[in-house]
Amino acid sequence: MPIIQRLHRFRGIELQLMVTVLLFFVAGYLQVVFATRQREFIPTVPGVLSILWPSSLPLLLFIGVSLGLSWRMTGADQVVLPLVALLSGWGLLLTTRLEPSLNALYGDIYGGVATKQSLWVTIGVIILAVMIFAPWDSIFIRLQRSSLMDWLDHHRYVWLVLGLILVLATFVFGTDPNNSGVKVWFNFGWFMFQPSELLKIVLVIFMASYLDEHREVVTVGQGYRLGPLTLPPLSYLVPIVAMWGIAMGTIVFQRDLGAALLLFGVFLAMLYVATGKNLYVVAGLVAFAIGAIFLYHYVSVVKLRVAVWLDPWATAQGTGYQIVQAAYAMSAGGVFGTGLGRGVPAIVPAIHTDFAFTAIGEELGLSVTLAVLVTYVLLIFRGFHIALTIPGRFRGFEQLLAVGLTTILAVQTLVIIGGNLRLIPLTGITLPFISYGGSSVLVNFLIVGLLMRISAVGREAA
Amino acid sequence: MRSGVRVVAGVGALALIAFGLFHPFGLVQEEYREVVWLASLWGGTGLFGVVVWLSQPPMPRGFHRSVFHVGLVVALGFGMLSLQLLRQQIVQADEIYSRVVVDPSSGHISSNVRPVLRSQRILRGNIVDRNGVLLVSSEVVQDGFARRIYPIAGSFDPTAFGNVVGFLSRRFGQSGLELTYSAYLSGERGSTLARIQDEMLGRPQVGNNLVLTLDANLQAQAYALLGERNGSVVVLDAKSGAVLAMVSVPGFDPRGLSFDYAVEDWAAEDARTEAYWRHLNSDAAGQPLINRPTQGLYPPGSTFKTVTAVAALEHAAVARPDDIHCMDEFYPDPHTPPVVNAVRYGLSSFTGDPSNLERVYAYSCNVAFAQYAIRLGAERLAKQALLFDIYPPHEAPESGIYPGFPDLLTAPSYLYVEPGFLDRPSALADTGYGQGQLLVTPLQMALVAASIANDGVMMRPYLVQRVVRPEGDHPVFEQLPLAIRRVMSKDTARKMRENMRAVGNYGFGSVVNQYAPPGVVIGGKSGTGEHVPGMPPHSWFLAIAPVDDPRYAVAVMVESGGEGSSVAAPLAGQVMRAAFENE
Repeated sequence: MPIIQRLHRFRGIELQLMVTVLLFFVAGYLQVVFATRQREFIPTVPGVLSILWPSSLPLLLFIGVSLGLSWRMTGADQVVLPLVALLSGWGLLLTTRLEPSLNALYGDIYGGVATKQSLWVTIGVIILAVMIFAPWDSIFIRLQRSSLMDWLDHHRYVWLVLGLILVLATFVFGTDPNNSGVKVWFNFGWFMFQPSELLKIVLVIFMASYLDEHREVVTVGQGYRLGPLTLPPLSYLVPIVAMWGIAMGTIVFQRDLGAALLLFGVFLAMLYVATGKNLYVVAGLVAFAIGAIFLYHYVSVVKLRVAVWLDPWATAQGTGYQIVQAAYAMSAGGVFGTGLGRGVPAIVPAIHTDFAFTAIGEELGLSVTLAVLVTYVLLIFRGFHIALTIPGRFRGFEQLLAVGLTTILAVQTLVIIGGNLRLIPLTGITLPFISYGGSSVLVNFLIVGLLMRISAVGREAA
Repeated sequence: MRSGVRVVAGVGALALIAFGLFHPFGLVQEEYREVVWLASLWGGTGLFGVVVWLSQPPMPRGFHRSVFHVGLVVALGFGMLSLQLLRQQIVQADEIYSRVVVDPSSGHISSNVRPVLRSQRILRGNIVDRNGVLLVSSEVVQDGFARRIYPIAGSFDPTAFGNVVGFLSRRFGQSGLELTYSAYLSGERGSTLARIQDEMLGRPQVGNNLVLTLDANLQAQAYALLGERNGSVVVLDAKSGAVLAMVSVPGFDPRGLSFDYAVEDWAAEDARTEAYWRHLNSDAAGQPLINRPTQGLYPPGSTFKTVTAVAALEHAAVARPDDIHCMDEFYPDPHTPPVVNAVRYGLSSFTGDPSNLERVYAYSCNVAFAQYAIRLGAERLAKQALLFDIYPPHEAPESGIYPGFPDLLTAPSYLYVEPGFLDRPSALADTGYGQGQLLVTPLQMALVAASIANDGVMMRPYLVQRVVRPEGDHPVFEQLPLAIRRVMSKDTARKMRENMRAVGNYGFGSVVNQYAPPGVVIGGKSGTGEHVPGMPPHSWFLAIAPVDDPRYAVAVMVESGGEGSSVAAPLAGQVMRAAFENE
C-alpha cells in the first residue's frame, strides 16, 4: 500500500484523545504520589520520569495499540479505546492513592495493590492487543474453515457447557479468601480468579448465538395460551426459565446477588433486542419480582440487604456500617472534593473494590463523579453505536453480541454505583476498569477487544 | 392528547423529584426522608421515562428501535445516579455530613469521623480574659496534631474556669465556650480568606482568639469564696451587662478531658480522660458538668419579692405599695392553709404597723407580698415577670434555650410550670413572695438586680466581648452592650434601689455591709428557697453596689445553704469587695 494512503487512514482522533488521556494520567499520578507523600519530588526531567515509570506503562501500551490500529485495522471505532484508557487510568490513580491508607488501616494485607493493578492493566492491554492484532480469521479459516465470529456463533453449545462447568466448578472449588461470605473465587495460589467474570462473557456469546438463530420464530410464533395469558413460544420460554433459574440459583446457593442481577439484566436486554417484544421483558421482570419476593422471605442475606438499603442508619454500627460510612464520605466531597490525599476514604470497607466510586466522590467531588458517569455513558453508547452500524446483512450474531457485551458494562456500572449511592440494595460487584481486581480487569479488556473486533468487521477494506 | 400527557408527566416528574430533594414545609418527618426521597426518585424517573417514550421519533419495530429503548433505560439509570449524587454531595451534604445516630438498644453513637479527625489538627484559638490573661491556648505537637493547653493553671485553679471555657474532648465532645464558639475558635467562621490561604499552603488551620469580659482574678476569688459549698456566683457589670465572673461549684478541670497528643501511649491517654469522665458523671461528683449559673433552675425564695415589688410600684394604683400590713397570717383562699412569715409571729414589730413597701421588703414579709400579688392579679404579675424574661410555660422558648444569653447553654426561667397554676389565689399569693412553682437561674436573678442598678433597662449579658484574628487585633466580631428592654420606669428603679439600700442598712441581710469596701454601701435582697421538705433551703442573695450609682450586680446562690440573710449575704459582700478591689 502506498505510504500516502496509509497516512490518509491514520487514526488521528484516537491518537489525540489518547495523548490527552496520557497527559491527564501523568498529571494525576504526580499529584497522587506527592499528596500521599509516597515519593520525594525530584525537579529534573529524569527525576520526574523515574517517578512515572513504570506506572504509565499501561498508558503507553494503549498508545502503542492505537498506532498499531492505524496500521492493521483502520476501520475500528476510534473513541472506545481512549475512554477505556481514561477509566483504567482512574483505576490506577485510585489504587495508588489508596494503598498507603489501606496499609495504615489494615496492615500489610493490601500491600502492593497499586503495583498489582498496574500489572493487571498491562496484561489486560496485552490481551486487547492479541485480540485485535492476532490474525484470528486466517487462523480459524485454516483450522476450522470459518472466521472467528462464525466460529463463536457455531459452537454455541460448547459455550453453554463451558458456562455450566464454570458454575459447577464454583460450587466444588470455590473459596472465600476475604471472608466476604461468598465462595466465588478460584484460588490459583498466585492469583484469585472470579469465575463469574468469565461466565458473563461465555453466557453472552451463547445467548447471542441462540437468540439470533431463533429470531425468525418471533414473527411467526404465536405462543401458548394459559388462561388469559399468552406465554412466549417454547424457544424463548426455555431460556427465560433457564436464565431465571441460573440467577435464582446463584443467589440461593452462592449468595452472589450482584452476579445474578447482572446476568439476568443482560439477558433481558438481549432478549428484548432480539425479539422487540415488550411482553417477554415484562414476563421476565414479573418472574424476577416473584423470585425476589420469595428470596426476600427465605434468604436472609436478601432481607438484610433490603433492610440496609431502606434504612442504613438504623444499623449504623452493624450491617449498615459500610453504607453509612460511604454516605459520610460522599457528603464530605461536595462539589470539588477534599483534595487528593486529604480525605479518609479507606475507612469505608472494600473501598478499592466495590466502593471505588465512593473514594472518587470524597476526594474529587461531584465534578469528577459526574465526569466518571459521563465517561461510562459515552463508552456504553459507543458500544450501542457499534452494534447499530455493523454493515451488511446476516450479521445478527455480531449485533446481539455487541449489544450483550455493552450491556454487561452498563448493568455492572449501574448496579454497583447504584448500590454505592443507595439507589438500589447493595450487591458486591466491581466497577468496570476502575475497581481493583485481576479477573475483573482482564475480562473487561476481553470485552473491549471483542467490541473492537466487531466494530472493525466489514470496514477494513473500506 | 399525547402532548397533554407528556406535559403532565414531565411536570409531575420534576415536582416529585424536587419534593424528594427539598422536602418543603417540613411535610416529611426526618426519619422518613430517605425512603420518601427514594420513592420520589424512582417515581419521578418512571414518569420521565413516559415523557421520553412519548417523544421518541417514529421508528419501525426492529433492531434499531429495541437498541434505542435499551439505551433509554440505561440513560434513565445514569440520570438517577446523577440525581442521587446531586443530593448526597450538594443538597443534603451538610445534613448527612453532620448526622449523628444513636442506637436505641445499645446506646452506641455513630457519627462522621471526619470532623473529629480534622479538629485534631486545628490550632484552636486562645481564650483570654478582659485583662489579657491567657486562659486557654493550643500548640502543635508531633505529626501536626494540636493539643489544647491551659496556661491559666499556672496562676489559678483551672477548676474555677471549667464550666465557662468548657472542655474539648476527642471522645466526649465539647462544652462551654469551646462548644458555643467552636466555629470561631476552629477558624471555620470569621477568617475564610486566611483559612483558604492556610489550606493552599498546607499550614495548619489556625482559629480565632476569644477576648472575654471575665476577670480571671475575680473568677478565681469568687470560686475560692464558695469553697466546698455547691452553688453559683454571678458578677455583672451593671451598666453594660458584661459578665465579670460566673462561678459554678462543683467545677471540673478541663485538662482532665483534653487529649494530649504529645503522650506516647494514646490508649493510656484515652483511659485517663475516660476515667475522669466517669468520675464527673458519678453520683458522688454532684453534677459538675452542669453550669449552675445558667443551667441550674431553683426556687428563688424571697429574692423574687424584688420582681413583685417592681410590679407593685409600676401598678401603684391597684397594688397600693405603701398601704400594707404585715400580719402573722393571711388567707388568700379560705380553704387552704394561710400564708405565714419566716419569722412565724410578730414580724410587724420590725416592719411597723401599718407598714410600707421599703420596710416589708427590708424585713422580707411574706404576708405583705402575698397581698401585693393578690392585689395585682395574675396577669399584671406575669406581665412584669415576662419583662424580666421569667416565662409562663406557654411563652417559654420552645427549645429550652434562653435567647438572652447565647454565649453559654442557658435554661429559660419559669414563673410557674403547670398551665393555669396562677389562677388559684393561694398559688398567686405563694408566687408573690417567691415560692409556688417558680424556677429560675442565678443568671436571671442577677439580671433582675442589674436592671434595677441600670435605671430600669435590662442589658443583654455577654461573656465574649471580641473575637480577633490570631495574627493581629483586627476584630472579626465585637459585642457592644445591648439593651434587651426597659423593664421598669426610671422612677421605679430609683425606688427599688432605696428598698435594696434598706435591706443593706437595717433589714435581713444587712450583714452584707460588714464586708463593704470603705465608702461603698451595698444594697441587696436575701432569699431562702424552700425546695425538698426536710432539706436545708437554698440560700440566695442579690447585691448591687455602690447603691447610689451601682457599678456591679451580684447574684449568689448556695444550694441547700440555709438562710439567705446569714449564708449568702456575707458571701455576696465578700464577692462585692473582691470586685471593687480588682478595679
